[in-house]
Amino acid sequence: MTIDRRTLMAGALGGLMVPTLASRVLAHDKHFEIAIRDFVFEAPEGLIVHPTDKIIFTNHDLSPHTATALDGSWDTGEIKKGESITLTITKEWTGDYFCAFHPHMTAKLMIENA
Amino acid sequence: MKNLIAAVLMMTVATPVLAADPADLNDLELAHVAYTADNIDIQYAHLALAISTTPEIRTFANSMISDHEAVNEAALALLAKLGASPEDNFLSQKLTADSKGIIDNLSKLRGTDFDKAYAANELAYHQAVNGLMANAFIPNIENAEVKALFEKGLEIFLVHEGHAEMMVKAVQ
Repeated sequence: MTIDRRTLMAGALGGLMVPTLASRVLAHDKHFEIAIRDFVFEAPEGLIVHPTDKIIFTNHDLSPHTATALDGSWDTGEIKKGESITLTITKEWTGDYFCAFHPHMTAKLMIENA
Repeated sequence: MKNLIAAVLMMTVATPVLAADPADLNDLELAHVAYTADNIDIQYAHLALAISTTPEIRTFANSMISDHEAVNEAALALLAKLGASPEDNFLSQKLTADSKGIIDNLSKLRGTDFDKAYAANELAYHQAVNGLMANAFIPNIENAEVKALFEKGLEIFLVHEGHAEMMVKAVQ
């Protein structure tokens, strides 16, 4: 059996693609963006965050929104159209959050404290 | 008290019944209607904040103020960009006249009577205005930017309609 350079490259690239396609996104001291669009929080699929990570909330709607922890442990305050607010995750954060102006807008952050 | 609540609901539901046709309004008249309708709901919300102590009602009222102010701000910015002014018309006048009666009646209610009447009025008001926007206004708007803003506004007001449905159930 012979393996040419193209096959080797494809194999190498295939290997590289594994972490990109993985559903879990692990990181520390990283920045992640959560867009608020059409009354929905749009987080990267499979996002898992950790204390010291930063989250940038950007509001693309005409309506002002907030991202507010259900238990009040963190809160962006009002984010107007086109504005962004960056928060740094701490160990005190809990994952369930909503928009204080539109309570039906709910979402969950997967937070790992390890 | 039940008569007062019924009166509020009757006035709200009666709003779309008109002699003239809303579909005949031009873009600048429609902009005036939208601005007027936004301000009427803001007035209802301020009344709710003055009377109601129910968290669900107060949250809804605050969101009505912030959302409708944001839409009006965008509308005024677009009109300024287009160098145009909104034009008063029969529908704006009808909405304003009806709202005065509704505010008079709501002002006389307290406690759960107010909450129920406010919630029911918000649901009926958004259903009526959203129906007009979807069926009479948006299909007849000529300017693309005005049309886009109305479509964006309708998306927001449909969310309000859904929120109002939740509020009606919450205050039962």
